[in-house]
Amino acid sequence: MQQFIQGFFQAVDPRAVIYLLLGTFSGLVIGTLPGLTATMAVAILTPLTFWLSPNQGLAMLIGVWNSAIFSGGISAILINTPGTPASIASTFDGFALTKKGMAGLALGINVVFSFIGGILGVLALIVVGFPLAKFALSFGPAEYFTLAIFGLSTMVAVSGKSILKGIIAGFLGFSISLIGLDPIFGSERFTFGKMELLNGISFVPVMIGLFGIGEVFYQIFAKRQVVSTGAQPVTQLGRVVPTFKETKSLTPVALLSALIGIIIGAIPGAGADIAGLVAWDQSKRVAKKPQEYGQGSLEGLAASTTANNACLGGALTTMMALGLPGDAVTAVLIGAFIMYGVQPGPVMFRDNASFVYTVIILMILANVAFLAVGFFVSKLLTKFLSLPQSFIWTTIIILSLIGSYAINNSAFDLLIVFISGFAGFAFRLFDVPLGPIVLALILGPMAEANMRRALILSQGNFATFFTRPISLVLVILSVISLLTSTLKKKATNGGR
Amino acid sequence: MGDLFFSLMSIAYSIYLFVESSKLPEGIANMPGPGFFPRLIAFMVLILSCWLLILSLWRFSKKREASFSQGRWIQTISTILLVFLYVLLWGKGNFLFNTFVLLFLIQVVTGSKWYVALIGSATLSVSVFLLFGKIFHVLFF
Repeated sequence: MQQFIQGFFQAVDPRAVIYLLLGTFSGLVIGTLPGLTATMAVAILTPLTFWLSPNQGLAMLIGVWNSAIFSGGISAILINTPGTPASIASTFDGFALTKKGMAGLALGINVVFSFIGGILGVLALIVVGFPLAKFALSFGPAEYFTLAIFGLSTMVAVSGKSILKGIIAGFLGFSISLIGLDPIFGSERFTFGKMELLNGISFVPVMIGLFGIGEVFYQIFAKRQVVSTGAQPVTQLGRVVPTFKETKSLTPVALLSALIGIIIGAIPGAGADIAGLVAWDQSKRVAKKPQEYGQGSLEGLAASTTANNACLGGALTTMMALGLPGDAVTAVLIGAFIMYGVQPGPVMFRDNASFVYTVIILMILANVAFLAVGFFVSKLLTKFLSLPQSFIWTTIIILSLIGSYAINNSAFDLLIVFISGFAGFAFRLFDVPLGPIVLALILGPMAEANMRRALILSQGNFATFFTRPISLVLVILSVISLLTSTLKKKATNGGR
Repeated sequence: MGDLFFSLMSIAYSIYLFVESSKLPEGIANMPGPGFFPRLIAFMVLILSCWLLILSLWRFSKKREASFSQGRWIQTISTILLVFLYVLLWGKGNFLFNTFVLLFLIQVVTGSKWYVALIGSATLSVSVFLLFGKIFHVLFF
């Protein structure tokens, strides 16, 4: 109880609330702009929070994350271009409603059901997070190794069009995680005599480079425009707030979609974009009027907007309780947690429970924040779409560079950002998924150290990974995950 | 074409990783050394990249894939070089001036009119200087 009260007051500290609102506003703008993802927003803003206390920094990042996912739906509804990938499914019915002259109601549904999804996601974090972390406290090196392998296998399974390229990307990320001191013997590996590399590659600059600068380079290359649909500007919104009757009739679909979103969010690697698409598709099967899906169905829009925000709670549960990133944003958040001196994982729930409560309360407040302003700013946000593309690109580039430098005042980190940015561009060009690289970068050290520890403890007996029950279950799940996704992709695109 | 490039680059990287990791002790079965994982990963990347190479050659002979010629190479390479130059020149000259020049040139290269770029880059560079230099007290040069 004392931990909860402590965590609660950390979250509702006035300065934290101000940073939460600042983050919410930044997220609303960034999320509305197509091409700027929530991952990019969190990655770029992470260095800015370095100067803040952990609760204030987290407040800002959580505000950005939640509101960016929500506001991605605004451009999806008004201009048929998803602001973030999480809102792809919202274009199906959202823009159709706009064409019918019901843009206001569509925006209102986006606000209400994003909020409902977000709150249900947090509820899942509360209900599942603590027991899961308690269970994970019994894990030994063998379980942690197989857990890392399971995380990698699921990420590969859901990433991109090519499983093969996803696996190679994972191993490339793994190889980068090897730089620095060996976790068992402490001998130098791939440091080339550079002092800066002794502690390994700094994670935050790599993320900023891959998701910030790399994305900008690719957008410049691909001539990607903010608004490319030729959609007519919306002049009349009509009614914005959905009636009680409408909200009530959409609730069953929303509950199903929230459940789907939470489960998909909890699976490492499967993000809000997949959650929105799967929920839209599944809800169609139980909807009262499935024939309206894609033609401007309120149910379809409610399903996608609920699922993509519910996904955040699921992703946070896995990330906080097990240390496995649920998606790219939580991968960046792991870097931020470490920057604040907190290592996500079961031990955090035991030794730093007040911090967990702070995160939970901040998640609730972030949802309340965008609910409070969402109705009023939804249309206003589209004004940002008229900002010159070059200006947006240079803003991202300079914030990425200076932000990465500023964390350690290290010119070497600048070089890391540039190299990661160039690599990120090349990977996008070659259609190589970035998710496995990031996940392997995080899980690599966990996998290596625990595998070697497990082998030392078992005196070189590899059977230790198959004879311990939890470890065996995780191995089986990893194999199932890889096999099912391989077969599924073979069926859809010839097994690339 | 992309798969071909990627597989060739990955093969080259895996060979490099293998050579470098061979300098590290491998250890024994019940106590794997620092070289064990790097070698394992190098081997996996090599095998998988060779597989991808074969697949991409097979597809390449069956159907010519669209090349990368549709992208804006000049603008992209110019931007990459400008950012690289900025990183290289870090610590030399004046922070505000270097930042302004970088932002102005990128905006011009990527299609902004010069006067729009001038206003945009001046605003941005001063904002960044004030935010990081004056509020966060980051030490520039």
